[in-house]
This record gives sequence, structure tokens and C-alpha cells, in this order.
Amino acid sequence: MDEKKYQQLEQQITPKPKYLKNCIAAFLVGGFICFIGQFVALFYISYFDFTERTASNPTVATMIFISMLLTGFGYYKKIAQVGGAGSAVPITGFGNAMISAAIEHRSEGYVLGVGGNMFKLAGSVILYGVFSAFVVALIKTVLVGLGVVSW
Amino acid sequence: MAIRKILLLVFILVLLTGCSTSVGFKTVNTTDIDEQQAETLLKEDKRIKNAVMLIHDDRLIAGLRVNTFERFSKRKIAKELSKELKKMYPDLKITVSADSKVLLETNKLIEQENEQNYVKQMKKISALVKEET
Repeated sequence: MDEKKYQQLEQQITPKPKYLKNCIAAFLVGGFICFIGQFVALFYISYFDFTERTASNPTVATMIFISMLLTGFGYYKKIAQVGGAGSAVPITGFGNAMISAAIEHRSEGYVLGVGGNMFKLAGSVILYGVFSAFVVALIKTVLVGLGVVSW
Repeated sequence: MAIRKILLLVFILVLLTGCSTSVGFKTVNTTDIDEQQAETLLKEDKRIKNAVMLIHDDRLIAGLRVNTFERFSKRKIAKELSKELKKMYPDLKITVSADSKVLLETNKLIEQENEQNYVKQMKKISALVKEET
């Protein structure tokens, strides 16, 4: 069997990914997560002193917390199986990435295992977020200092 | 199978009727300042769906709800209207916001009809609007 033949065979056997179906499932699942998030935001707006703008912070925290609980109890992987990217792209995917890494390395001990590996996947997200926020804030501070824009 | 479809339809209908609740335009004025011109300003603006306005003491609070696709520029709309209102009433402290919290709280305040509460609550709403992130 030469290389060409092998490639042909491989293409025949490989099942075709159902792009459209996956996209629709991701859209629905991701949309539903955001739908729940909207309710959480509405809850914070109506019962606490948050405006639409400031309610996003506690909402994000709550959604991450919920997804962490779901990951710990093993329900999030069922959602991810159906939703794919729809369950990974919203902020809930962040909580999932953190807790699943923690669970995976639990056998290596609490400090070196859980503590050291918890941020393996999600750490880059935090670092990137903090660093880019720092850079943007720096640029804005310089622009405000020069008088180009106002806060 | 048919019952599932009907259930789905009912579910969607119930879900969508939630979107249609509205308070319309409401104005409460406890001072003797003429509120008509402010009201017409809000009513004639086609971008605004609902508005609740409360004038009390030396403060004016207007909570707006803009049309769905105008939401992208809701801060700009609020700023514009705030400027116009300031021109109309130079000696009032004016708070205009398209944030639903302002509309919600102002509406609650009006429905409670407790005038002793007005000053304190209005100060709180104005402070909330200024809050950053």
C-alpha cells in the first residue's frame, strides 16, 4: 500500500463531520447558556443595586460558579457532548477548564497536583486577559494624559 | 407527537409574551415646573419605546427604554436627551439613562407613592448611573 492509496482509503473510512448539525447544536446550547445568564443578570439588576452595566461582573462570577459545580458533579461533559463549542465559548467553559484540570490531577496531591495544574488550561486565559487589560489601560491613560480623549 | 408540537408552541408563545410588557410613557411631577415640553421631547423621539420621568425637588430622573436595535447607541441617545433637557431646565439636576435599572427603580418609586422617600432614592439612582463598571 503506497501513500496515495492509503490516503484514499483514509478518506473513505473517515466519517464526515456533520458541520451544519454541530453548528446548530452549538448555537442552541451556547444561546441557552446566555439565556440563563440573562436571567442571572436580571436577578442582580432587580434585587441588588446593580445597573445593566455593572451587573455583568457578578453575573460572570455566578455563571462560572454554576459551571464549576456542574463540572464537579459530572453534568457539564454531557452538555459539552451535545453543544461542543457552544458550551466552551461562553464564560462557563472557563470554569469547566479549571475544574476538569483540577480533577484530572487530583491523584498527584493537593499542592503539586491540584494547585499546580489547576490553571494549566485556564491560566493562559487569565494571564492574557490581565495583560491585555493592562496594555489597553496604559494606552488609554497616555491618551487621556495627552488630552486626546476623556474618561 | 402532536402534543409535543403544541407544547413547544405554547412554550414559545409564553416566552415571547414576556417581551411585550411595557409601561409606556409616564410622568410624575411634584413641583410646579412645566413638564409638558420634556414629555413631548421624549414622546416625539422615535427611538424610545418606554419612558418614565420623575420630577421632584430639584431633580429630574428619566429612565428610557430604547428600541431593540437602537440599544447599540443607547448611551449616545441618553446623552443627547440629557443635553436637551438641561437646556430646557437649567436649574434642575438631570439624570437621563437608558439603563433598565433606572427605568425599573423610577417606576417602583412612582408606584410606591411615598414622597418622603423620593429625595433619598433619587439621589441613589443618580449615583448608580455614574458608577463605573
